[in-house]
Amino acid sequence: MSISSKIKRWIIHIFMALYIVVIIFPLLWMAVSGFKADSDIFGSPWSLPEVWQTSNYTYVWSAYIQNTVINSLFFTIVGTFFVVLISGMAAYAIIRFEFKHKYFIFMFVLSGMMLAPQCSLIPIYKLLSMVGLYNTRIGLLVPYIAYRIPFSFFLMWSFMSNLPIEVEEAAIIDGCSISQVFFSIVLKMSKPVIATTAVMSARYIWNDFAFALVFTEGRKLQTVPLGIFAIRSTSQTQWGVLIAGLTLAALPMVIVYICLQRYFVDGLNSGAVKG
Amino acid sequence: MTTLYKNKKMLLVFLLPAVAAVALLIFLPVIVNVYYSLFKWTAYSKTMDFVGLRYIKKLFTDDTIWLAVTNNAKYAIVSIIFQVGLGLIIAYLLNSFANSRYAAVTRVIIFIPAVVSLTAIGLLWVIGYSPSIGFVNPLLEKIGLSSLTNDWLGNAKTAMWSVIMVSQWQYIGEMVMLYTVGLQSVPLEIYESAKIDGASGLQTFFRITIPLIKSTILMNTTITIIGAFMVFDEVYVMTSGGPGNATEVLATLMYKTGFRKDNMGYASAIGVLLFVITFAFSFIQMRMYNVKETMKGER
Repeated sequence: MSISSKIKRWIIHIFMALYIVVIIFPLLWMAVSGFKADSDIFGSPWSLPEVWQTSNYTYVWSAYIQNTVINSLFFTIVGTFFVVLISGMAAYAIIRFEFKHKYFIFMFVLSGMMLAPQCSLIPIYKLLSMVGLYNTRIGLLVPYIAYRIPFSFFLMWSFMSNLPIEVEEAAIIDGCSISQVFFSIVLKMSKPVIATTAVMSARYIWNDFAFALVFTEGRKLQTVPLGIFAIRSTSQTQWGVLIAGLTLAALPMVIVYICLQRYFVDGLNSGAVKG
Repeated sequence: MTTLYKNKKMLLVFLLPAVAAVALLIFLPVIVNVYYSLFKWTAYSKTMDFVGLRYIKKLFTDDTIWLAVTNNAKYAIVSIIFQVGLGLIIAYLLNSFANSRYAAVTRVIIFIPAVVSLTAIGLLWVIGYSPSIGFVNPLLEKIGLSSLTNDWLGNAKTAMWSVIMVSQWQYIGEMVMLYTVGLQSVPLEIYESAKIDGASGLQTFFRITIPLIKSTILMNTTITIIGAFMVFDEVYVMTSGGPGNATEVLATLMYKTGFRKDNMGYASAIGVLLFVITFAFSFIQMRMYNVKETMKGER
């Protein structure tokens, strides 16, 4: 290797290393500063804590996060379950059933991807209030599910299209009904795409801020993002508590991501770089 | 067995939930939104006064709308430079200069901010930018640039750019992921023969890589533009549109017009504008998916 290309290599490595530091540093700073006393945070933002104290974490957990985690878990788990179920059933119907206007219905569900939820905040808010679902569990859950369906349907459809029909045919000859075939054969064979769909929808629901802000109020249904946002407006001086809260809010998704990377990557790529 | 797949009742059970959810919660609100923009109404009012196209017309003469659109456009341009442009360069460097293990670990790390909520990331940077407890100003002082220290989010001149940069920090890693598959689909032989022909790294990048992944680049550009016009969380969390209205974008303006000023009719009109802009770009994006051919090809 020539000297100039070696130098070039080094420049590239230094650039990449710097970039990684820029990404990692604020996250580490957040996790570490959560252990600092407020005086320590103000005095020396760049140093390690003088005393590693856990009181910020324990306080923010019991005062702000605990109750919101339960809500967020509910919306994320139940929402994701229905997203997978409804999208999977629709994808299966498009692939196997014989009916008129199939292409139209396929495009109809898929076109939902083109409509951004932000544009519809006001009409959905009004519709929810009219049917008495404003600030209810169902009222927030249903929009979460609906807006995840088009993309999840697309993901599951592209996977299920490649499943061999022979297995299903054999089961039907053995006397299985369509629902038995779907639940005990098709879904079982679709485990990878179910995982991908689930992590993508969990990421979306767990992190959502706008829907929760507009469709709920008060603390009863507060989700984690709203909970940490509330810390900022209620406690001007408790910065350590806020920072600890941010770390706790960020942690679950980061852990899920580190453990299930493959599905995140699959989900991203099938969503954007198709064709 | 064919009869089972022709069973209308089962078809309805399987298909209706998805179709109904999309129809009632995604398509219907868009239409209702247009209708609502023709009326003067508030969140708790029982009646709605018809005002025709007054609010839609007002969109074109309202300076704040113009300011918001400009801010969204700034968001889009900076995001194209950093996410589409720099994201491509980083993905390319990782793909061609690093060993694959190191590259894979790097990709995992730089994607981490993208899985954290915009709310947590936004608040983290509110603190990071803060002149009293942040880490940005002390860093500038350490590297001898104390003249640049600033109240980043409190100063109307820098607030918008500071918010925009947080999104870049958060989402470049996601773009790198999106590029990586495209880059890995380029056959290695092409690079090898280019090397034998004596092409430099830069030449290979511009003459081979870019033309071959043109469709990925276009796709990522549209995704980025759509995202830039939809931004709400990060702006609302970091500045709420302030100081003054320096960081107002369409979505925050819509939210505040509707839920703070309780002018729901005009907020709906802003929603319609937001819809028209994002739908136009989404439509282009859908055309790129080439769904029709995919469906025929795989069936």
